[in-house]
Order: sequence, then C-alpha cells, then structure tokens
Amino acid sequence: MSDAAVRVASELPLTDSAAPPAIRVDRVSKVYKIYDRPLDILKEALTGRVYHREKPVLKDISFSVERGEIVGVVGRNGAGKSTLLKLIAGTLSPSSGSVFLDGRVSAILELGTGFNPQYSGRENVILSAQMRGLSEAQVREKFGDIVAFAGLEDVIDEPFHTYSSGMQARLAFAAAVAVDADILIIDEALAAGDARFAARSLNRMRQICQSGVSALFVSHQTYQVMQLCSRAIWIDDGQIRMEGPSVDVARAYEYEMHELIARDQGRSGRVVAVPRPLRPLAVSAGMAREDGAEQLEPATPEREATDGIVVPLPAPEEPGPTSAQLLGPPSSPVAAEAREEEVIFGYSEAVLAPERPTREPASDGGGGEGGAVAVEGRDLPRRFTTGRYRIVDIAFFDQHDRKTETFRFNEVLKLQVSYECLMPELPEFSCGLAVAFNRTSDFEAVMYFNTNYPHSDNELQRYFDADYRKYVGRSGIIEARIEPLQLRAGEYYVSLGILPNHPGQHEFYEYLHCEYRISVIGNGFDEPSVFYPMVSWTNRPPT
Amino acid sequence: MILAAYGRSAVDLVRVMVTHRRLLQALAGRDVRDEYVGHGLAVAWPVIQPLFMMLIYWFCFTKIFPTKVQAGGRLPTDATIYLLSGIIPWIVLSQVMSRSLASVVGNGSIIKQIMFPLELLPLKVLATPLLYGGVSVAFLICYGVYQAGWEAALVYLWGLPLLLALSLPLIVGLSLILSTLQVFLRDFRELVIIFVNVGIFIHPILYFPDAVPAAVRPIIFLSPFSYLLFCWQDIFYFGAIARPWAWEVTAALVALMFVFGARLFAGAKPYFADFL
Repeated sequence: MSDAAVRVASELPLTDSAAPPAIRVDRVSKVYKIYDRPLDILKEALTGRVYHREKPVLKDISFSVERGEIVGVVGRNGAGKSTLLKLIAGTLSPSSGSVFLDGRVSAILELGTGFNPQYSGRENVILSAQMRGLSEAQVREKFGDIVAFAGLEDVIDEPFHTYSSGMQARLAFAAAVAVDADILIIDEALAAGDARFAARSLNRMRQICQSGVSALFVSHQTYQVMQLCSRAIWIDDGQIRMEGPSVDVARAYEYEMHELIARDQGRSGRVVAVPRPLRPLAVSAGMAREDGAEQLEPATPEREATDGIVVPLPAPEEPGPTSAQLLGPPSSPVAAEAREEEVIFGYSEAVLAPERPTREPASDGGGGEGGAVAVEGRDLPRRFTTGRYRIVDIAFFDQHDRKTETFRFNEVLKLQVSYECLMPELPEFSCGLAVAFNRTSDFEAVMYFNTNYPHSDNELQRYFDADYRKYVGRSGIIEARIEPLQLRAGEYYVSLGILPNHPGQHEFYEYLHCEYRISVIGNGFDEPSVFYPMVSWTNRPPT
Repeated sequence: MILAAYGRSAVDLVRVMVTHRRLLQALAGRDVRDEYVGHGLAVAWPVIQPLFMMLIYWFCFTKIFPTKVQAGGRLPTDATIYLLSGIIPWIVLSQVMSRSLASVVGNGSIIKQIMFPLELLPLKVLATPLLYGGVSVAFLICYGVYQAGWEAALVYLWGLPLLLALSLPLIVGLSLILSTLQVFLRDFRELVIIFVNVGIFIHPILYFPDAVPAAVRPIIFLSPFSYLLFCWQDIFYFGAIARPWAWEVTAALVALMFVFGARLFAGAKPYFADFL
C-alpha cells in the first residue's frame, strides 16, 4: 500500500518531495473500547483485567498529504472517515500509530457545529475563533468577513438556535475557514447550505487550496471530490480501499454505490471491463494523449456476458493478434473457464491496497448473485453492470460519419450505443440512454440528456409515442444526434448508461462513469464560455 | 519518575492557564453571564443571591436555632460570623463540585469539534462559584469589621491571602478530578449530589466540633473539606491561626489535589472524546 501511495504521489506534479508532508498518517489504528457498564471502566483500571469489547474502526491506515495538496476522502457511512478526520484533527487519539502534522490545523468535524445554541451567532463566532487559537484582536479583524461570507449580517445577534440548519452550517464553515490554518480538515461541511453557499464555499475552498493550504475533506458527493481534489482516498471498513487520482477513486466509488443500490433493489450489479472504442482516460497513468484514430476499432464483446466471467482485455496500445481474437465470436463457457486463472478481481492494482482485494470465485459471478467484480488491467475502462442489458459498443461520430473523439463546434456530434438484452424475457420498457458531459478542467456538469424523460412541453406531446421509446428488442442501437454542437472548444468527460426507458426509472442496467473524453475544437472566434446559443440577430431602424 | 510526571502535569496545567488566560477569561465571563443573563435583574443577581442566602442562614441559626457559641479568640466575634465563615467556603465548594461534574460531559460536541486545551472546561466553570464566593466574602468582611472593629481588618489583611492561596488551588484540583471521573463513571454524579446535600450537616459549619458527641466526632475529621473550613473559621471567627494542624492538613491536601487533579486530567483527556 505504501508502495502504491508513493507511486501515485510521485506522479502528481503538485507534490514537492523536498518539503515534509503537511499531514502524515503512519499506521494509524483506532479501536473503540465498549464497556457494558460504566463501572467496568473502574474495575478494569483497578484490577487490570479486561472488561471491554473492542470495536475496530480504523485498521493500519497510512498516507500523507503534501503541502498545498487537497485530498478527498470518500467512503460509505460507518467506514471510518469521520474517525480518521478526528484523529488527524486531534480530537480523538489513535489506539496505535501516529499522526504528524506540520502547521496549524482548523477543522470542521461532524455535522454538529460545536456552537452553543443559546449564544448569539456573534458570540459563537468569537468564542469558537478564540478556541481555535485566534486572539481577540484577530477575531475582531476577521469578524466582518466571517459574517459576510456566511451571509448572516442581519441575524448575527440572534440566538444560534433560531438559525436554520443551513445557516448554522454556513456560520460554522465560515468561522472555521477564517482561521488562517495551514491544514484544513472538513467533514461534510460543503454539503451544507443552499446552492449559492455551496458554490461560495467551493470557491473559497479553491482559493484556500491555491494559497498553499493543505486540506483533507470528506464528501459523499464525488463530483465535489473530483472538482477540488487532485487525489482521493477511499476508506472502506476501516481500511484504505483505494488511493489515487480523484477521478479514478471517485469512479470506482460511484460504481460500487450503483452496485449497492442495485443489490438493495434485489438486483445484482457488478463492475466489469468494457471494450473501449475510444482513447482511454489516462489520468493515473499520465499517458500522453494519443491520436485516437487507431483506437477506433469497433468494440466487440469479449466474454460470455451471462456467465459472469470477465476476462481482462489487452490494453489498446497492444494491437494485433489479441484484438483479432477478440473480434471473433463470444467465448464459450468452456473457453472462459479455461481462462479462469487470468481473471483477477479488484480495482486497478496501481492504486488498490493489496491487503484488500475484493476477490470472489470466478464461477460465482453469474446473473443472480452480485458482488464487486472488476478486471485487472490498469488502464482498462470499467463499467457498472447489472447483467440484464449490456452495452455492446459505444461510438462517437462527427459531421461526416467518421468515428472520432474530436468534434468541431457548430457541427455534428453523433453518439451510438448498441446494446443487447441479456434477460430471457424482454422487459416492459424499451432500453434508454442517459448521457452526461462534464468539463475536464473542473468537472462542471455541462450537459445532461436522456431518453427516459420528456424535457419540454413540446417534447411531452410526442414523448409517449416516440419511436425511441417504442422499440423493445433483443438488441438495438440508440443514436443521439446533436446538431449543431453548441459546446465551445474544450475537453469533456462523457458518462453514459443504459436504463429502462421510462420516467422515474433511474437504475442503470449498465453505467460508465467519465470513461470517455472528447475534445471540441473551436470554430471561429474563441470565447471563454462553455456554451454558445443558437442566436438569430437583427439590427434594424426603430419602427 | 512517577513524581516527575505528576510535577510536569501540574506545571503544564499552570502553563495552560497562563498562555490561554485570554480565552479562559472569555469562557469564564461567558459562564458567568450564562448563569444570570436573561434574568430580569441580570447584573444584580450575583449580589442579591449571596446576600439573601446569608440573611436566611443568619436568621435561622441565630434566631430560631441559636448555635451554642464557643468562646471566641482574639476578636469579639459572634455566632453569625462563625456560621458565615464556614458556610461561604462550603457553598463555593459544593457549587464547584456540582458544576465541574458537567463541565466535560456537557461539552461533548465542542470537545469532538474543536482542538483546544480541554483544561479550560473545568477551569471556566469555577468563575460563577468564585464570583458568588467573592461577593459573599465581601459581605462577611463588612460584617466582621462592623462587629469586631478595625482590628479584624488587620487580621483579614494577612489571613485572606493565605486562605485564597489554599482555596483556589484546591477548587482547581477538585474540579479537574470530578470532571474527569464523571466522564468514565456516570453514577458518580449521584454520589456527589448526596455528599453536597448532607455536607452542610457533616461538616462543622452550623456547630462547633466540640459540641458533637465524641463517638461521632471522627466523621467531621474524615471529610477533607473540614480542614479548609477550620482555616476560614480561624481567620474570621478566631482572628488567628488557632488550629495550626488544620492548616497543615489543608496545605498537604491542596498540594495533593492540585497535582493529582492535573495528572489525572492530563492522563485521561485523550480518551474523553471516545466516551462522550
């Protein structure tokens, strides 16, 4: 694991290997001692006998955060994220291991604010800033900024308990970030408040990040993690499940969430390798951008989808016999079994903690049973699947029906997704498609479109009779034609998934999270916006 | 080795009190205001409360059940002074006990939220009892001077600093110990409340130790706080160090409580957040 961490760190341009890390967590474990009765604590202290049960929360965690680095922490509820942050902030002590901090720490921990509900907002800000180590003069100097940032000028002298929960969180966030800390630790606080405040705090976080502060923050919103963090850590069951570039970690985490949601609904979901018609995301490997042309081979099924056995695809940089082999008919179950030893489960080994492979018997992945299954191969795209429908191919075409990932503004972008149904009986609804574009620079959601909702009154009139909702077949091709493409020059991540084609159906059959990356080339005068509207202008004398 | 650890904890405690005095001041001021703010006569209560209490005790125990007065020392004092010189430190002690119990346990959210010197929590709750005690002692001084003349004032001049030098570290140690124990032993509170309630009777406050039958007299000497009360009575009632052994025991007790309290708190505070 430390090996992986070092490797990842060395690939990040931000890190400065000369300076000591701002946060270094060294083999930290945390065990809560649970005493059934308070008296047991006394008995144990006096007699030396053990009167408690142990509940391990964190197991042997090691990582470091470099100066100026913003690291996100993702993980399910109860995975140990908050405990980890508290250990680093110093409000909890590790059971073993140590935490090294280089600089002043300011933390927002838990959803509670640590503010006294009876005091006014003003008194709370002053007291908490003083408790965080500011002098009275410093507090007075910053007070106006804090209140203005929280946007609570009008109510600052009213008791804190009269504030809405969003207002409380805003004030707590404003007070915590106002302390000129070298290390900022934030647990879920960015999720608080309305959209305006969320944007504002995100902005403030960016400013803080640029000012050289190191930060560690927990969020359930992986987009926030991707937007803010260069690196992310996925904590699962008290251990580091994955550590690496935030896009990779967020994607892996998203997939698992889809899988769990699917399982909750009595369906199965897995993560498998996907044939890759386009140039891969190469964030972790730092791959140079290649000319996509050779990679636009039509993708082909590489496995018998229903038997649940997944076989690693060769990396697309290795063309030749393997590709040809893949172009053949789907492997028979026997052939697949014969290749069982090739199957390695778990996420990309470059970032996966080796002590925690999600290893499952290969023969056990069939249709009904779920379980995280991923194919080894560090640059292979992965997808979430329920095994009910399968994406056979994904391809992007330009104005001239050429396969490409590079498009020109104001021309055509055509997306084709071919699918096949793996269920013995066809479902009630046809197969739909949902697509999201995110700007690569900051993960801003640029556009989102899908077949399973009507998006305007106009569309609603035709929606329920639309051809693309009627066709239900064993296999098909969904085509989305965008003409003209109104995106300005830039790079965009594309996430897409197939799902039941009916409003209210959100659960993907298959889903690929930011696996594709397209470029749009400017066409004409360059403007710094994402979107150019289709305008018709007039200029005429007044009538 | 162990002694060194105890000594270091005590020094650290003093250092925290000095380096964070501004914050302690702010927190303590907040604590006092919490006690009285929002009441109509906010500012007057710290004065009215002790005055009223003193009047009640004076009325009950001099007019209704007159205390048998032992011959005074050098000063022409009366039963009222005897009563007040015992009851004021006792009320302060009992307030310290009941307030310190909640000082850590009641602040779980802050402890988990903000990294700051946790010693400030049991220290800041001393503010209200100290204010109460200070106002009460001021009344007592006025009454003593009124009763015994300026000679009494001379005794107070050297006696009061001595009493404070003993009492202040004692309540600091007491607060640290109780606040820590309460975290781990939640039943502890009930015991302390019982002790506080019966304290006024088992301590030599309303009576002289000599008036108690010899068979039960040892009970008085079992409570560590009796010795501190003897000291207060020595100064205000007897006008001299009438019972030097009481002062010696108190001095030893104070040192022990302060150092032990500092060590206990320092050793236990890393675990507070786990138990809150």
